[in-house]
Amino acid sequence: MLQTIRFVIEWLSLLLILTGALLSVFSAFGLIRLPDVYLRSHAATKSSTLGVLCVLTGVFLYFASSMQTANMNILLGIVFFFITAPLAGYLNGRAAHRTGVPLWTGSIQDELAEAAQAAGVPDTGSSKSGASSVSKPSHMPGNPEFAEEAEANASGRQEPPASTK
Amino acid sequence: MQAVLLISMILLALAICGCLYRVLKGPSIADRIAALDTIGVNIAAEVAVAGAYTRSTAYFELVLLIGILAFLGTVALARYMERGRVFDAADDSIRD
Repeated sequence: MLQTIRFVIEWLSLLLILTGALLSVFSAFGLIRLPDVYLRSHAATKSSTLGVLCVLTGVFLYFASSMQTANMNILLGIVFFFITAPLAGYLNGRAAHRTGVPLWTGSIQDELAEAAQAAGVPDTGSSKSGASSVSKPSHMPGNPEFAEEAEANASGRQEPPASTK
Repeated sequence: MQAVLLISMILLALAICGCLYRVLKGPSIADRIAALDTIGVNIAAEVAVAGAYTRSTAYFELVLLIGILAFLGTVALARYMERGRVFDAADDSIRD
């Protein structure tokens, strides 16, 4: 009975590891194929995080079943990746928007630029200025909290999608 | 079941190669930073699977270490790209 449970858990862990590796491959595929920094960070953040969480859970179960050791490093790594990988993607996307990395031409909405414009913050307006302002951090708004407030306004406000061509 | 682990390691290496393509080609710095972050995460997963493949727990400190280093590198690069400097918590108040 115990042998059967151990066998099932071991193959379940192998299935989890294989699923996680496949999710990482799909994440890399999205990173190559998607047209835009923001869409690429969608692929690089979400499916990559799920992939590494699946792999680490699988390795933890593998060691728990085959060696009867509960490895705390792996558990700590699961929690750490769960917290930090989306946070890094968020920071990267915000930095990209503020330094004026252009949106994909098929994008129909840029709520952060609208909100910054409505609040009077001189956001670099990624859809307008293009990549020419990448090396100009002096265009940053002088007060970072103000931009955060503008972002908070953007999520709460209901507006028709502006035509940001 | 060693074969499954080997296939997973090969798939993860393939994913790292795909991210490396984006690092080399990416039109903006943010592309490269996102791809480098994904590479760090994939390397941590690869090290964990390598530990399962060799049936040794010696590598598992490395998973956490690589994760922390990749996260700190991503944060530092993103802040540098956004503000022009990395450590600016002290001079936020005296910004002109």
